[in-house]
Amino acid sequence: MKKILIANRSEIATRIIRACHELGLTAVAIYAKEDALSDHRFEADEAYQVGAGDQPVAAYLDMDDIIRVAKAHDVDAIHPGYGFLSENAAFARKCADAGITFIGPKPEQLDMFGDKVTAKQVATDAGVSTIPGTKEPVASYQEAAEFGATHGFPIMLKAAMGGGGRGMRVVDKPEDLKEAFERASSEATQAFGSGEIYLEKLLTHPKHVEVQVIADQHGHTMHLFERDCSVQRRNQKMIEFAPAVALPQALRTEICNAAVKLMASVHYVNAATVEFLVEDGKYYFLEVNPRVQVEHTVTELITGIDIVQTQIKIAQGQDLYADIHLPKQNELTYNGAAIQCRVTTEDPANDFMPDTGTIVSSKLPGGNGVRLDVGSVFNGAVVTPYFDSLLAKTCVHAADLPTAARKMTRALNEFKIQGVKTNVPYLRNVMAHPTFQAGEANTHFIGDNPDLFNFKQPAHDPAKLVQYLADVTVNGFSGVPKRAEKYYPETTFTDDFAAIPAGVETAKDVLDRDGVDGVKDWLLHQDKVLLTDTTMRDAHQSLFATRMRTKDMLTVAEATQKALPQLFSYEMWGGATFDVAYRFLNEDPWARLKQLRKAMPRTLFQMLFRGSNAVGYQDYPDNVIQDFIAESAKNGIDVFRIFDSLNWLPQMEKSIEAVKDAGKIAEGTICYTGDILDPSRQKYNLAYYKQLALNLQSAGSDMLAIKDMAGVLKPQAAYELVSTLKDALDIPVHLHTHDTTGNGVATYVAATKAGVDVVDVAANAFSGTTSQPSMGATYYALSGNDRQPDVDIDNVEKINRYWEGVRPYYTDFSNGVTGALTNIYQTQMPGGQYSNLQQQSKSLGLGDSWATVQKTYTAVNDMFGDIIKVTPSSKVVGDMALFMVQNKLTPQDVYDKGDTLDFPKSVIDFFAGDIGQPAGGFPEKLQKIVLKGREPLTVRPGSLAKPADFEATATELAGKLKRTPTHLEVLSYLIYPQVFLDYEKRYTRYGDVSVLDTSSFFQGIREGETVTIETEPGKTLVVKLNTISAPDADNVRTLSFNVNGRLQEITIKDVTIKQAAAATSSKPKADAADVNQIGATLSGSVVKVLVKDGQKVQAGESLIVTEAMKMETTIQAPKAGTVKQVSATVGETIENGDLLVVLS
Amino acid sequence: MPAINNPIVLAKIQSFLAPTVAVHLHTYAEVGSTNVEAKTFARTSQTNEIQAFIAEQQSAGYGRSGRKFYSPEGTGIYMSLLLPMARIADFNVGLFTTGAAVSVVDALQVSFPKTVFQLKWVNDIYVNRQKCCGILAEHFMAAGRDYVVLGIGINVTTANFPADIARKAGGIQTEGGAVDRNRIVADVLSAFWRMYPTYQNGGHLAKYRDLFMLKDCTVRLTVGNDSVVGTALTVADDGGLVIETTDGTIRTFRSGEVTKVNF
Repeated sequence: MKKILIANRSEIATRIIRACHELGLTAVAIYAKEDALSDHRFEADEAYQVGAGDQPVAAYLDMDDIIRVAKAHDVDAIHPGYGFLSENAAFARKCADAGITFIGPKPEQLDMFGDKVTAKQVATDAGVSTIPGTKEPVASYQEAAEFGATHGFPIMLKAAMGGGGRGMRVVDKPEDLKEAFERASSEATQAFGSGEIYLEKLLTHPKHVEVQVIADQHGHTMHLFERDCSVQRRNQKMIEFAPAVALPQALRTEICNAAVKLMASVHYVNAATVEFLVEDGKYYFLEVNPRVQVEHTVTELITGIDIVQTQIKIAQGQDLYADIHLPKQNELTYNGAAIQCRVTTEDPANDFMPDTGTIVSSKLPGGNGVRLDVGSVFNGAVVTPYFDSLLAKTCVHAADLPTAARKMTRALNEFKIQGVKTNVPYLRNVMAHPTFQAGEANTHFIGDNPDLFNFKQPAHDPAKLVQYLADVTVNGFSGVPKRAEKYYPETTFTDDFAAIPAGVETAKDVLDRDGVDGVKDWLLHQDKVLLTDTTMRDAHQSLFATRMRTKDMLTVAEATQKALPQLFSYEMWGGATFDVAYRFLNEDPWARLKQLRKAMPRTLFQMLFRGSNAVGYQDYPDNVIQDFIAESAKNGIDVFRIFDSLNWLPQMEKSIEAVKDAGKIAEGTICYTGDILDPSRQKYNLAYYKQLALNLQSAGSDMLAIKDMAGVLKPQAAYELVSTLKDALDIPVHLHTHDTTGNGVATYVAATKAGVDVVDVAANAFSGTTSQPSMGATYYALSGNDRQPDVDIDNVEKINRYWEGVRPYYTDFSNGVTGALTNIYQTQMPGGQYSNLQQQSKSLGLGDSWATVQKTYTAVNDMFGDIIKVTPSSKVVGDMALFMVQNKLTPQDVYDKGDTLDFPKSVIDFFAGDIGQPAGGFPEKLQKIVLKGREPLTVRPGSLAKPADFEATATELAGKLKRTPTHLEVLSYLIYPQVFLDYEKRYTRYGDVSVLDTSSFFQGIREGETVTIETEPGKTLVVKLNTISAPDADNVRTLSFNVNGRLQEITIKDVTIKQAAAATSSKPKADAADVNQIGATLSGSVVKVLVKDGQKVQAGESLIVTEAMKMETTIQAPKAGTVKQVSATVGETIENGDLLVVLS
Repeated sequence: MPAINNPIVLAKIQSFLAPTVAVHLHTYAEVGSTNVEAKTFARTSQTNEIQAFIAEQQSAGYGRSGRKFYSPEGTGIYMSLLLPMARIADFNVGLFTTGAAVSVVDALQVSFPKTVFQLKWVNDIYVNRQKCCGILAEHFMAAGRDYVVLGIGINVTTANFPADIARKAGGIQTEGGAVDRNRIVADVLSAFWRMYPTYQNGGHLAKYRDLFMLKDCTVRLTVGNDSVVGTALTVADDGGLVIETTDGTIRTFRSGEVTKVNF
């Protein structure tokens, strides 16, 4: 025997090729067309295509073609592997007829064991027990009852004419048998025409144990011990191990001997596996597989015997002992335990559907005790749907099963396959399961343990980060323009601050040691004014639409604590950060809190909390509010600034209570509006604020905050207000203003002189205009004053240099306010509303509408009785102003014609009490006019909300996430259901992107650039983008990366279509100064081209029609002329400004 | 037997309108197309006030890309609003066209409180998976000023559609009961008047998303010469259609037409 043809494919073909090579034989491979690039073709010495024109699987079953190939190339023997033709007696006979040795048993033996009935008979004849069952249909119920009594319950009733799972009925208890039997009979008669019933004992928790048998042509039969293959899913084996450690040795020996006896009784030749079901110490014959098995590997590992080589040698006529030198049965030993995991492309998260695709990158395990039998796993390998989904058999060998399981876990963790999904996460979970490690799993193990489907997403999946970079690089980040060059600060920040000197006590130290009362006391006894730094929250919320990412905060966190331990607190959470983190930054706000808390353990953390809305925009049930506060406190918030947009106390009380219950500092807040210096504006006078502050103090506030959201607290007013409050209150006073009107520092100086305890400032680089006043400027403004804050100004400057470097990351989100806006003293419009309202008023198209709208805004505020204006109350005033301007209504008109007017929804809801009760109540007349009979609320809307059912919500969320959510996730889902789910979806795709630097996060990566990402301390990902290809016919681009040095290609569909990539030429833009150049006015697509080159057109004549958002824009000739060139084609995508037509 | 609808009468429409709805009405027994009427009016009058053109029937009614819109007498509403623009650059087309859809649904809900309306992106209104209302905005210039025409075609009780659209088009009410089209026209104008000043807030998006019938459906979006297949997720804050394509990328589209839907 010199040449062996392997009538198989993939890993088993490779296995047999290796055996041939070790024996010095020539290996011939066959392959179907779909396997033309498979490894086994190139590993063999010769390879020939078979089954041309056949379906893929059919090619390997094309007996005649295989024999033809074998004969044509002087093949001596054929090894059929497993599956395909390995149990096909006709094929074995054809081989014999062609003079080719079939490496396996005799054809008659294939026939014998191919027929379940015959096989069972062979077993019985050999004295091997089979699953108890009746050979003939039972004649009567009595017979059935006897059967049950003899063999025990449960038993299965099987209709004789049924099959394929039909006509089967399980009977669990003897009491149920009579009725079941009668029913089964009558049903069978109806369905199949015959009421005959067979019985079979049903094994409820069997183990699947099989024995490896080999036999030579000289009458020697032996076993190579057993294997346990109980871990199966829908009768498909997933994991096998040897030996069956959970069974007593005596039983195992008995089973093995029975197997040998069975095979010897028919004078079997070559390799086979005898399969049994074992339950409660009894074993039952199942079937014989007269071939090599997929899991032969584990037997080879524990015995050291090469089964495939043995098969070949047996076929050559060698004697097991004399020639092959195997030990005698009673001398045969095994060593340790071995496990095999079948790694497939089945996706456990998708009901084990086999995935297909191209392998983009692959890393395979190795090392001590690891054996791999791999199909075609290499970069670029295409996984097709034609064949089974097995990628690689991973085997380990160790001293015992638990050790082997740990080694297997290690090996599975080293598997890194990208491009197709694998079942590795599921296999890992099985390895970790104590039942498996004890060898106790039975065939119901997978079905009985749904927990095995709980997959923990790895915190940082490099593949996902690279995918994110690729996606953003090609398709951009929503709403952010692509920059030619990525911005990075000139200098990298280094933390070379000294540790906080011993003896320096931070406010947090005081809280931890002395509790809330201790902090109050300590604060009241401070001589100097203290500072709260808002850079990480209100500053960027005001300047950059809350877009600052956690990474930019973490980088400076530890340093800041060391540099500025004298700060009272750091405002770093709440406001809009919760929403924006999930919705826009793909970050978990809770993670931000936890990470910052870890980095700044000695700093008080502060959050802005909307009395009845927490961090959302609607009313939540009280129990949600309370839980949110409790969780925030638990995870690191110390100071809760609680406010209500109408200064309505009932909306703040419950939150204040909840903060006190949590043992944290509750800062009740008065929103400042109006002007206490203006005698004509007496609604919100000093007495009003004083009373409100006293009420807040009585409600349990530990501190009193003055929130000047519009920046209208004039310096002198600040002096008077703070003096009054300091006099009337026992609790410290904390002032917050915005520098929108340009007077922020002056206000703080005045307030400090009046005795204010803490003021909110921002790092210089993030201060001014709509943000807080500058920290440095405030410090210097108080030079010479006894109360000048006690900070190290050099450290302030040093930390500020970091923030200077951070600011340019976010310029795309600037609000456009470039200087002081002093008319806000009159309009009282909060800074955040200013630019929005200005934009909207332009669309009314009524001349100088902005001036009118601003005037009307003030008028509306008066009509509403002068209300506090901060989100959401400010929006109501804005909407009403626009409504009145557009309808040309004066305030008198509103009263006169109001009954017939349809007011904006936000206005109706406001008057209905949906956002609370304004100070002084609603103006009754106007309320009646607006509501038109609708009954307004007089109570706190939140009090009407039904308490949230956390458990039910958790179940609902678990269903959506397909895993058990954490409590914080349930809470986030309650507050922002859709936003949270969308975030989860992006997280599943991209993983934790917070580790990216901000430029890469928004801009992706450029060709030739290397981005280094520290995913965890000490763990880096080095990503280099080599090239981006031009888009192909499907607009797909190929990006070539080096990821940690390894070459990897990712394909991304470019959906920006017509993206101006460096490599391709972009459409020219129309020169706005040249009246002959006519450009597109909106981005969209070209719908009609109405002219052609050379055509004469008149002024106003229609040239091109473009479409965007289902508006068709007709582009007309601005003057008479001749069309020189049309550069637009129907169906083309265009951008605003693209040149479409040139006239002459 | 379809209901008999009151004919379109200007005075009747006016009677349903609040006096502050300052829209100048023009009614016709028959026109080629109300959108064309609106454009002609703009060119000849160079008006800077909002006008509405309503016809009993159209002989050349059209929708997107000039496609025919079946506009028989007596059963439908064919109307166009002419909106003079100060600066087209301040116009937010995505919020406008989606806001128009929500306004029309609000108006229809008054006369058909039990009917369930749904929206196909961008602003087709559907009842029972058939399109009952088409909305087309057109932008052009006349005498140096920008105008937007908002055309609205509603199959109120229309039945017996031409064979090529019979499966896809449907009337809102098909049996019994009198329907006052003048009332509906007035409701549409009122609803539009309410929406127009503040549509840039995007306040209508919440309702739009509730009515959005493509959510989680596989769709084909044809954009010019290309098409994209994927799952429609939602509508973005600027009205764009958010689709997750088959390779998993999520993109927002602001042009094109959904040409196929698998529910």
